[in-house]
Amino acid sequence: MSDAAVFSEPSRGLIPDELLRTCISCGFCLAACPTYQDTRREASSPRGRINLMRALEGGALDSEDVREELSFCLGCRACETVCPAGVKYGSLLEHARDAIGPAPDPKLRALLFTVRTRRRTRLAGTVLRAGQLLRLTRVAPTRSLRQTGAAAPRIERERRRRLPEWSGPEDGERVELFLGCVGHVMFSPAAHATAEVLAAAGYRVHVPQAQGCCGALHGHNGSLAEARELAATFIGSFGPGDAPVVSTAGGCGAFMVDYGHVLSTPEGAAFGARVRDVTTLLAGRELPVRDDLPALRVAYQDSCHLRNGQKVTAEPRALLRSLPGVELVELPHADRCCGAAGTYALMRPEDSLRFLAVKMDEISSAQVDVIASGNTGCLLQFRQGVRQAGLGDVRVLHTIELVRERLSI
Amino acid sequence: MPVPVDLLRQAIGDEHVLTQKHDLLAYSTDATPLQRAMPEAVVLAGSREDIITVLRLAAEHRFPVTPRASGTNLSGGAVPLHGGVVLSCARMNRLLEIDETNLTATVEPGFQNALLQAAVAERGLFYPPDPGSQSISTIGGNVMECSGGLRGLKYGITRDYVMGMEAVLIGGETIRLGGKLTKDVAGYDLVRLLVGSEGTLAVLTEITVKLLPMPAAKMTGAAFFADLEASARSVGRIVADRILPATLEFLDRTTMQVVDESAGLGLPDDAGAMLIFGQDGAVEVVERETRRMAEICREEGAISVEVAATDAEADKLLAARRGAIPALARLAPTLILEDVTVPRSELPAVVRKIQQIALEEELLIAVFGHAGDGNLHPVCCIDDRDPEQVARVHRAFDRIFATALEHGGTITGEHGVGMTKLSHLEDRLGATGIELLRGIKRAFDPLGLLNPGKAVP
Repeated sequence: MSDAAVFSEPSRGLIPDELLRTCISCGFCLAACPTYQDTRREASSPRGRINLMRALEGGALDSEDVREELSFCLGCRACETVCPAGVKYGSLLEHARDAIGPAPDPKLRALLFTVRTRRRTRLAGTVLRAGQLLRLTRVAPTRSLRQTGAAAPRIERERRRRLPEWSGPEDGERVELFLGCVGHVMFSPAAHATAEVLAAAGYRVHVPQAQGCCGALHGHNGSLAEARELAATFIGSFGPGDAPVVSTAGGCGAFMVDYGHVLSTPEGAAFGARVRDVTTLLAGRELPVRDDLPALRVAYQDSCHLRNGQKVTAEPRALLRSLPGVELVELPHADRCCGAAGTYALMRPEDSLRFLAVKMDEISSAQVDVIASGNTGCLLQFRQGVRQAGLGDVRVLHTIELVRERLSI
Repeated sequence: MPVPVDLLRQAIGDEHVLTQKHDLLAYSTDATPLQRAMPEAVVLAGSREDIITVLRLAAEHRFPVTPRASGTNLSGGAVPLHGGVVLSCARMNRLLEIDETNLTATVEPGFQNALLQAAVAERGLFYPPDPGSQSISTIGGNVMECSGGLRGLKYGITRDYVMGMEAVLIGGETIRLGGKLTKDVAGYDLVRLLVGSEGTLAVLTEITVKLLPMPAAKMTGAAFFADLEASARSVGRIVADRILPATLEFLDRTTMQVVDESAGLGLPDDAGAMLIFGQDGAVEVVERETRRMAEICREEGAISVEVAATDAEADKLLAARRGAIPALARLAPTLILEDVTVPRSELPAVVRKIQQIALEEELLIAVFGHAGDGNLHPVCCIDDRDPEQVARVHRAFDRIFATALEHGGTITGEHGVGMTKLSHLEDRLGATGIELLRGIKRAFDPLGLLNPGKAVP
């Protein structure tokens, strides 16, 4: 192949040129990239992957040449935080994965199919719950699914997963609570805790009843058209108004914040501007905390998209520190991805566990009672990590669940 | 001759010999704009033995070898111009020893600069060279390029800290040079010869650097001026006042704005230039001299002067300055930059001429750099899809190089000659100088296989 063919100019219209051209290949991102640090191979760095995207766009490489490296990327967006040029890597990754289409992985296809409607998601909850009761996770087809199944929290009955449409003082500032799809099926107690804590903080909490999936899973996995459809429906289900939309899932929250870019509509941008992580709404609010509970050592692990996408790092830490008896322990690399990375743990279990193992070593030496985090995927990952590292007495909680535990309500 | 991929695989292992198209493409560039070429294979060396294998096979089979690590090079040094093998040392990233008695650290070439700084700081020690790319660039890369940084004026640059090394020559022979010795005049100074040799003479496998005690205190401040002239006057007066600052960096208005946007510093938007100054050392000296520098800036008409209240604030300011080059990418898709260096006294005149050249060639040229050591970074912010703009940039840089040389300066202070300054090297060294370089190159690499097309015309 001649060099001219390899380095031809972008032309296929797959990935927006203005996003590709922001990167000048300085290489600062390599230091922050977990997969580059893992392999020390250029193609598994953000800069390397952007070069692959350019070649895909220009026609020098085709989908199958880039599929493995785009799939190996955690999508954690840690690179964005160290990029002086302000490259929107997360957005680039979404476009590039969309250009090559979703991975031909039956687990992923099943998940994306399931969360497309509320009915299917609800049904999946019932099926998974039945599976748990019958202990079918032991006979799941792959070892990693069996392990994930064993680590998953007990799924609540559908009736118990449901939240009241309204709660909190009637004259309180109104907020709209986002529940999520698969995250809510697995971690509904966190949603209940959120509503209760917000109410205790004086908010009038509304739970839009028709809300479904925000589209993040599709957007991150090569199906932007479906993501846009879901996002538009999702925005509709929240109705007009400018009340804050409260997210408790870093991954979904970061995607919703970015709706303006995803949808390229003013409605998308306006909705994105309403999205807040729950911890930011509690900053500076008086909470009826209890001081009669035993002391706890708590490690806070950043959700990558909460940190790198929504830029929320200080509020959850401050909130945890404000709880009587809670000693917050900073992990050496709380900002490094735990390997959950949305569907990554499902699709690339071996790689995912390698990133998790590093994390569990740090947690093990920190000698904590609780691991707190702000994203459901991370919680599931840490439940698995705790089991495998033999740290059976370490509890894994959503930040807000720990707050709820320490309130006298 | 074609690269004997099978032999490389047998000796080094399939996993670390890359030949797939996407991998080759990822190694076709470094951080230099517009320079790329495809290698035939990439070897991710994990040990000295891997490097010996590659350089032995290269001599036997006559294929070119381009050494590299993190690929932050700004002069095309890591671009495999003639194909062959890209030899990456990025996996050789161990810190081998910190010797607290001899005050040295020994590392593998792929160990990152920032990690070395952090590791020695834990023991109360200090490794001064701090290139802008320090968060990711490696000691091996720093040594091969003789990287500078923000502390050049007071502490010198990479060459002032390299004490010893182990390197492999083309053919596979290993040599050890220097050592933990302050004094050593046995033979020509081959350590210094290899520092800054841009991967054209040998490939490093181990480096021993000198450490200093960590200064007890440091302070950093920023002064804002109406124009670059006023900041330049302050620089002159600070040095005339017998202060040798640890940091003395200037940024023009354009650079200030993008750095502010990128790092969220909240800089005043009415200033035309910014001077970052700082001192380290004993507490009372640091306080006195930082205060004095602030005073001088005020006397020279600074609009405002601030001293960072905390180390974290100071670090944020310096980190933002280190990110200046990529931050300029916010303005244009292509940045063509050089790093001419002149005697400190000539700095104001040269900056004025660069601004004049920018006007005449109708180019946006951002200028910032190390005021203390006369090292300038003029950056042309253009769109390379427009060939006419590219032509104007080349003309502008020809004029900037000529200006620097007229003022007793050099064509590159710290980024290296690489591919991009090869045609200007003779202007700096003269025909005799070039012949000497060629002789040295032949002595090490008679077949011309190590990083061909770089550093030596």
